[in-house]
Amino acid sequence: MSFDFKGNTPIYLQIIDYIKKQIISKKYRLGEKLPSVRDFSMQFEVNPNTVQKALFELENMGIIITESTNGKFVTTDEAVIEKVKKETIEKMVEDLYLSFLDLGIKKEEVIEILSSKE
Amino acid sequence: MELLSVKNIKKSFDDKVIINDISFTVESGKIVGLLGKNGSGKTTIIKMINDLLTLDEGEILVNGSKIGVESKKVISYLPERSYLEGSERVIDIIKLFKDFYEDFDEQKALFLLKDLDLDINQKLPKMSKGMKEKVQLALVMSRHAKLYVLDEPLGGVDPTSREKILKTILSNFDEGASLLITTHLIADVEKILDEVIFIDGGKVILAGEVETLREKENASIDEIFRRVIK
Amino acid sequence: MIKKLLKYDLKKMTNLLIYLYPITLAVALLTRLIKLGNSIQLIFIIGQVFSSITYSLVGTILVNTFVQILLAFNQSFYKDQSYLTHTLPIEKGKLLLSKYLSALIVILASIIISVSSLFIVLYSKTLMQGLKEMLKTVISGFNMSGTGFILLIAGIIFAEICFLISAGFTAIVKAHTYNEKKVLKGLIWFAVFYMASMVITFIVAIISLAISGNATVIFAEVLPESAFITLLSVALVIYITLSIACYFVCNKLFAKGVNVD
Repeated sequence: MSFDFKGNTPIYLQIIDYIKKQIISKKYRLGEKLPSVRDFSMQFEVNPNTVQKALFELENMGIIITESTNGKFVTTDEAVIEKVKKETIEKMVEDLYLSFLDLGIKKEEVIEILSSKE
Repeated sequence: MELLSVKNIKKSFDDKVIINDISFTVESGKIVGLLGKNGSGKTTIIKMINDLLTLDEGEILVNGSKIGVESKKVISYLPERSYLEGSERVIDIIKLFKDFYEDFDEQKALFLLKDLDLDINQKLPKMSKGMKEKVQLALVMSRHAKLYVLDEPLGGVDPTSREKILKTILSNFDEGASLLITTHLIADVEKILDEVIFIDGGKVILAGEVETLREKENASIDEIFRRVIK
Repeated sequence: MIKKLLKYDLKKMTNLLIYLYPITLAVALLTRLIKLGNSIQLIFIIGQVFSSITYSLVGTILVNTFVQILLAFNQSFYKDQSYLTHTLPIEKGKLLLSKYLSALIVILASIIISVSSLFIVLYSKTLMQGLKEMLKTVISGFNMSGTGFILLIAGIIFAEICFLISAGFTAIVKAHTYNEKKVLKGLIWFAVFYMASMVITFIVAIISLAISGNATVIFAEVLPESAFITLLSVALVIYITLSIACYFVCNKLFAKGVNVD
């Protein structure tokens, strides 16, 4: 799989985003073992140090945990994942809302457009 | 730890200054891009690191020692041109690497050559430029070196092979080893770099961490490069 | 390490000679066989043609020995292959020594093959008789044994070729200390080394003749035999000395580092 990164944002932030979304959408399940740094680096075709940095940040957020010998796992704490999910959705809505505003579309219209989608 | 340290080097050819007081370091474990247009002096620096050009002034230290037998033991170098001449076959070059490099991993070389769709029994004169470059890359990445110096590794290959070459590079350098890559194809390599050094007119124009630069300038390295180097 | 280097250097220097050696020997043998039928006019002519082929093959070997050794040196140290040669973890001195040793081996091999081929074609009882007679008259005046004389001549030829190669190597290394017109400068330096060797030989010859008490013979029309031997010995010593001197100069220049194209 080839991965398209946006040029103007740090790659590690984009990797964090990607992994969060994978966890929210249950592609990586609670407590599941994550690929190694090298595997991620191959998958994204990026520098292993960048992957390392992304995983480090994710660990700080409590989203993943390291078992020293076995590797890295998705947390089993559902509360954490719920929080991440909320934040992510809020961020997405915020972005969407802002881009609508940019186009001069009013809040009422946005709601109308969204509710017309099945 | 500093694996490569280049201090105030200068080089002129017939009174024409090619390298004008360049300094930089490569830390162990880092992938550093030496970026510049053709004729900016990148290859001259690489040749000086590899004992193919003498320094007019300054000093280059590799793993603490000056350029010489010790530095060559730890550097695996991919030149921008092919040294695969003569009527030999690929397998003969493998033997040569085995004869002279203690850190050469023959099994890995055979695996990589196969992975790149190359036949070890093919004669070198019958190979295209792109194939020869792949052979050299496979040999270079089959050494367990501390510093890999790759001069335009994507230069002669077609765009579709570039991804494969980058993957081969990424998946085959030892942990803790460093990479110094020169290229003018910045967009293709920027996602694998930790740090960049922009060279123009024999001088360092800009240097820094890739992610920091991206954040600060809100642009890709390719865009930043085009902004600072006209 | 030197052994491994020698293996590769010999291979590079002989990539053409390795075919020329057996071909020349085979043609020489064939010539010899054809000559058995010399009494028939047509076969005699064919024999003559084959003899000429052998001689030109021997000439080709000698020219190629010289050219291939210098070419291999230049390619390995300064052309595309230098990107491999100079990045091997080996001292520069060893790289150079291996070139000198392999050149010596190739020169010896070429001389042996050439002499053997000529011997195969030309050997006959009358020829040997003639040679012996000639040698006898020559050495009778020299106060020297026949084998000694032959060894002296062979030694001079060998030493002179060695000197030419050594001077060639040094000229190539010297030419690459410049950034431009390397081929021309290489040729000029080679000419300089060669001229210098002639001048040195001439001066040393006069001095040694003076010491041995007959400096005036330089200007005589016919050299007296004793002076002839003195000159030959001087030439041998000088060529060996110069070859070694060139090696040290070359080594010193080379150790300073290279600037490849």
